Amino acid sequence: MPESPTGRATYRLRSVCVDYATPAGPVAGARDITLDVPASGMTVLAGPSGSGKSTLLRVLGLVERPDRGTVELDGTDVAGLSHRRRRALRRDRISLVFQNPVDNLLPQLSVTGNLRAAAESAGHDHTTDDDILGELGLDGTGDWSVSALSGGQQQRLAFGCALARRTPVILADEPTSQLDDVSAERVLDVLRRLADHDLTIVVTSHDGRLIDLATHLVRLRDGALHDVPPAGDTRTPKGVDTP
Amino acid sequence: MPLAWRTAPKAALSSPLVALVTAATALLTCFLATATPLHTSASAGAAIAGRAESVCEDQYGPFFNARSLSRSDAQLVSDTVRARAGEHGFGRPMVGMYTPVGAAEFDGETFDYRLAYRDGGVDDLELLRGTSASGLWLGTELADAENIPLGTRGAGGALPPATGVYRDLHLPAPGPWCSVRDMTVTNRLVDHIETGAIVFATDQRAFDRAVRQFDRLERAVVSFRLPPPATLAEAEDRAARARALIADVEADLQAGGHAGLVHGSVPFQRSIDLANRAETNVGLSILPLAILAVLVGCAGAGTLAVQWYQRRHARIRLLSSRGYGPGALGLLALAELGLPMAFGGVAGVLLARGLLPAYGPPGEMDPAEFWTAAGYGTGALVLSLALLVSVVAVRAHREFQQGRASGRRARRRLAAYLPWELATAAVACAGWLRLAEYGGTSRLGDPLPQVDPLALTYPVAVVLTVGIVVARLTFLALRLSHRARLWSRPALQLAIRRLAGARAAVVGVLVIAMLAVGTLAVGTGVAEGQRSALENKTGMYVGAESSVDVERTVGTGETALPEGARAGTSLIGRFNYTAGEPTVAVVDPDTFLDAAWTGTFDDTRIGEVLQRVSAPAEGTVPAISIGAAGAAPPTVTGLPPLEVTARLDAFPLLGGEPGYVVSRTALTDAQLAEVPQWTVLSSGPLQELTTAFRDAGLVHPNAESRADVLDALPFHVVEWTFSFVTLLGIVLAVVAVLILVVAVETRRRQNALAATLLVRMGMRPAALLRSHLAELGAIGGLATVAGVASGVTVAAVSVRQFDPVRWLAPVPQLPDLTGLIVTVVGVSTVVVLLTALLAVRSARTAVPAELLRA
Repeated sequence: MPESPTGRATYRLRSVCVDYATPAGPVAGARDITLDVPASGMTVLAGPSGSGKSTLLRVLGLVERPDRGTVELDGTDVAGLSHRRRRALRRDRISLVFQNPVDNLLPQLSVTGNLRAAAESAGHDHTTDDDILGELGLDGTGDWSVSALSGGQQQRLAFGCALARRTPVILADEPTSQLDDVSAERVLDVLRRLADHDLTIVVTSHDGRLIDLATHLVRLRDGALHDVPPAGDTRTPKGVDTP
Repeated sequence: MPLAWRTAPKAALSSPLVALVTAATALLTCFLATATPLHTSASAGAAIAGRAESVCEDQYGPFFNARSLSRSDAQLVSDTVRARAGEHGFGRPMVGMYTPVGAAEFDGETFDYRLAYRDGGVDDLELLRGTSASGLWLGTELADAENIPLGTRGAGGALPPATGVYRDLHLPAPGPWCSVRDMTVTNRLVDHIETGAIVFATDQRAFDRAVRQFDRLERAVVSFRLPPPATLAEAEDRAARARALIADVEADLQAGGHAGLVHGSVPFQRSIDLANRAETNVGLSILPLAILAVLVGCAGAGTLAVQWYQRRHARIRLLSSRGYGPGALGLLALAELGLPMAFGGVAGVLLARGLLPAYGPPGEMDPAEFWTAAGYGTGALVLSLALLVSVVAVRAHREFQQGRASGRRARRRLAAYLPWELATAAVACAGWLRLAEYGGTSRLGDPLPQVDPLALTYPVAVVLTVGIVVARLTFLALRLSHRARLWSRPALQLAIRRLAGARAAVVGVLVIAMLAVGTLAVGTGVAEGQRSALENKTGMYVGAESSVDVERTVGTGETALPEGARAGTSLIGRFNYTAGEPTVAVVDPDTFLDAAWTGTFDDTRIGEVLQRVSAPAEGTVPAISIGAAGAAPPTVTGLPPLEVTARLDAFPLLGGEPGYVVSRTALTDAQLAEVPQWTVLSSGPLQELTTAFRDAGLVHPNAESRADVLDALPFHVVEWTFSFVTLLGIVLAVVAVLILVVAVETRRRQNALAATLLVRMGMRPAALLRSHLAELGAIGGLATVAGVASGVTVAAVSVRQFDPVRWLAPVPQLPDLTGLIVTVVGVSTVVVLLTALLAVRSARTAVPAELLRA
C-alpha cells in the first residue's frame, strides 16, 4: 500500500472504485485504488490517456463519489458526506486548476478581479494581489483583461487564484498540456515555487518534466495503480530551473 | 453578492444574439400569457358593444313599467324611484306617461288621439312649427291634414293650447322612443285615426291638465338615460345596482300597500348573459392552445438554460469546484440572462396591451382586466425565470454533486414513447361530436348557440394530432436512416446524418413549426370563413344592403319612387305562398344588379339570364328556376304559365330555396298589378331609404338592414376565437424560427469543426451549403406541407360546421388561402436559407488547428 512518506496524509483512499455506464456496459474509471496523498509536496498522477488520472482527480476534488471504497480528507470520510458538507470542503480546502487555461478564469473580470473572486469564493475579504502577481511573474498585469494574457500567463494566474484562495490542497489536471514549451516551463516554475508553500499539490500529467518535479509519483494504467514506488522511496524534487 | 454574480450581467454582452433570443423568447411567452385574458376580456367588451346597439337607449339600466294605472299611482311610482335612485348610483329618472286612445274635439272636429309625455321628450322630437311653450304638440299628419292651427284648444277648451307641430315618428323608431314605440309611433299600416294620433304634452303641468280627460293611464315608464356600458364589468355593476334599486322600490311600494303596481326589470341583463357566454366560449376555446403555447415558450426558456449551461460550462465547473452550490449557479444564469428575459417579458406584457386593438375583438376592456392580464404575463415571466434557474441548478447538481448520469435518459425515452397523439385525437373526436350539434338551436334573435368550448378546440386538436404523428414517423424514419447509403450524394448523406444525430431537437422544432403553420391556416380559414358567412348570409337574407316593403302602387309604377330612393334601388315583387311552396319573384332586369347584393354570385351570369327572360313571350312567362329543380312551376294567379328558360343555384333574397324569377319587362301592367307584395332593394344604408320614403309620405313597413338582420354575435364568437388561433400561429412560427436559430447557433462549434474538416478534405462550399439546405429544408418543407395540408383540410371541414345559422344559405365556404400559403412558403424558404448560411458561415472562416486545439 503506498502511503505518505512522512506518515501525515491529506488524502487516504482505500479500495476506491468508480464505474461509468456506457452503451457497451459499465467501464471502470478507477479500480481498487488504495493510496495516501502526503500533506506536503507534489504528488503526480501519471499515466496514458484513459488510465484514470482525471477520474481520480475528480474523486480527490470531491466532484465524483466513488462507487466503492473510502476516501478520507484530513481524516474525514468524505464519500458519505452530504452535498453541503462536500461543497464546504471544496470551498475551504481545495483549489482545482483545469487543463485549459481559460477555463480557470472568469473572462469578464480583470486579472486582479479574478484573484479577488477566487479569494472571495473561499471566504477571504482581501488578497495580496501584488505579492501573488509578483510570485507568478505577472507584475503590472493587474488591470489587464484575462483575454490579453497568453495561455501560459492565464495558467499561471490560475495557480495564483489557487493561492488567493489559501486552500491547503491544490489539484491540477494536466496544467501544461495546452501550452508551448516556453509557457509550460514558466508554469513548472510556478509549481516549483508552490511546492515550497507546504501545500498538498496533486497534479495529473504525462509530461516528463512535470513528473520529474514529483515528490510522490503514482502511475496509473487502465484505472488501476501501476508501478507504484514502495513506501519511503520518494523522489527528491529537482532544482528549480528558470526558463 | 460574490464578484462573479455581480459582474454576470456584463457577461451577457459577450453574446448579443443569445441576449436577443432570450429577450424575444420571454417577450413571446409573456405576450401570449397577457394577450389571452386581454383577448377574452375584449371579446366580452365587443359583445357588450354589439348588444348595446340592439337594445333601446333607455334600457341600459333599471326599467320600470306599469300598465293601466291612475295618474296618482304613476306619480307614486316615479317618486319612489326618484327617492331611491341616488342610493344606487343612478341619477334623475326619466318618467314617461301614456294614455289610452281617447277622443277629443279639435277645431270643431273629433279625432282619436293618445296623450303622451316624457321628461325631456320634446327634446327628442323635431319641432316643425310653433314654440316650446307649455301646451300640446300635434303631429304633422293630424295638424296638416286637418288644418288645425296653432293655439287651438281641444275638448272645448279643456285641453292646453296646441303650441307646436312636430314631425311624426315612424318605424324604425328613433332611439329615444324605442322602448315605447307602441305608445309613440302611429301605426301606419292602418288608418291612424283609428289607432289615434300621438299628442305630446310639452311639460308635466300641461300633461296633468290634459290627462283629466282620461280616467287611467295605459302605460307609465320610469327609466334612466345612461350611456351604453363599454365593458362587461361596467354592465354587470350597473345591472347589480339596478336589481338592488328594483328590490328597494318594490319593497317600498309593498310597504305602502301598492304591491305589484310596477314591474321592474333589467332589460340589458340578457345582453350581459350573452356577453358572459361569449367571453366564456372564447376564453375556454383559446385556453388550451394558449396554455400549450405558453408552455412552448417556457420550454424555450428551458432550452435557453440548457444552451447557457453548455456555453458557460467551464465557468460553472470552476465555480462549482470552488464550492458554490447548484442553486447559486442557477442564480448565476439568472444574473446573466435575467435582465434580457425580464426586459423581454415586460415588453411582451406592454406589447400585448398596445397591440390589442390590432389582434383582439373590437371591444373595450375593463381597465382592471389589464392588471389581471399583466399578472398572468408576470406569472409566465416568473415561470420562465424559475425554469432558467432550476434547469441550470439541476444540471449542475447532476454533474458536480451526483457525478453520475441519472434515469433522465430513461424518462425521456418513456416520454417519447407515450402515445400523445391518441390523447389529442381523443380531444379532436370529442370536439367533433359536439360540433355536430353546433348552430342547431340558433334562430333569428336567439342567443348564442349552446356550444361546448371543446368543439371550438377541435380544429387545433386535429392539427396537433397530425403534427405529433408526423413527428413520430419522422423520428422513426431518422432512427432507421443509418441504413441509407447515399455517399454518392455526400451533401444529402451528411444532411441525413445530422438530422438523425439531433432527431430529438428536429422533432421538437418540427412539431412546433407544423403547429404554427397548421394553426395559421385553420385560424385564418375559419375566422375569414365566419366573416364572409355573416356577410353572405345577411346579404342573401335582405337581398341588398337594405330593403323596405312598399305599397302596390309604388311597385307597379303608378306612384313614383321618392327622389332620394331612385338611385341604387330596384323594385322586386313577390308572390308568396304557404310554407314549402316556391316563391315567384318579379325582378327589374335594368336596375336589379345595381341594388341587389351579389357577393357570392356571378354578376355577369345573373345579368345574362335576366336578359334571357326579359322578353315577353306569347302565352307564357319566361322564368329562371332557382335552387334544386323540383316539380313543374306553380300556377300563379294572374300570370300565364311559367316556362323555365334558365337555372341558377341561388338568387339574392331567395337564397338557395326553390323558387322562380321572372322579369317585370315580360309582364303587362295588368299582370304587375296582381303581384301582392313589393319590396325596394337598396345598395345604400337603411336610414337613407326610410328617410326618402318618410319625406315622401309613403308607407314603408318591414324595413330591414343587412347590419342588424341577423344576430352577429354567434359569428363573432367563432371569428374571435380563431383570430386568436391565427395570432398563436404567428407567435408559434416566431418561436419555431428562434428555436431553429438557437439550435444552429448551439451546434455552430460542432458544425464548424466537422464542416471545416470536410471543406479541407475537398468538399466544395456549395456542396456544404446544399447539405445544410437539405437538412433545414427538410424540416421547413415537412412542417409547411404537413401544416398547410392539415390546417386547410380541417378548416374546410370545420368552417361549415361552425355555421350558427344553418337554415340560411349560403353555407360558409373556405376562403381563398392562396395568399397565406404563398406567404408561409416564402417565409419558410427565407428562414431555411438564412439559417443554412448561418451554419455554413463559421465553417468557411474557421481555422481547423484553432478548432482542434479548443
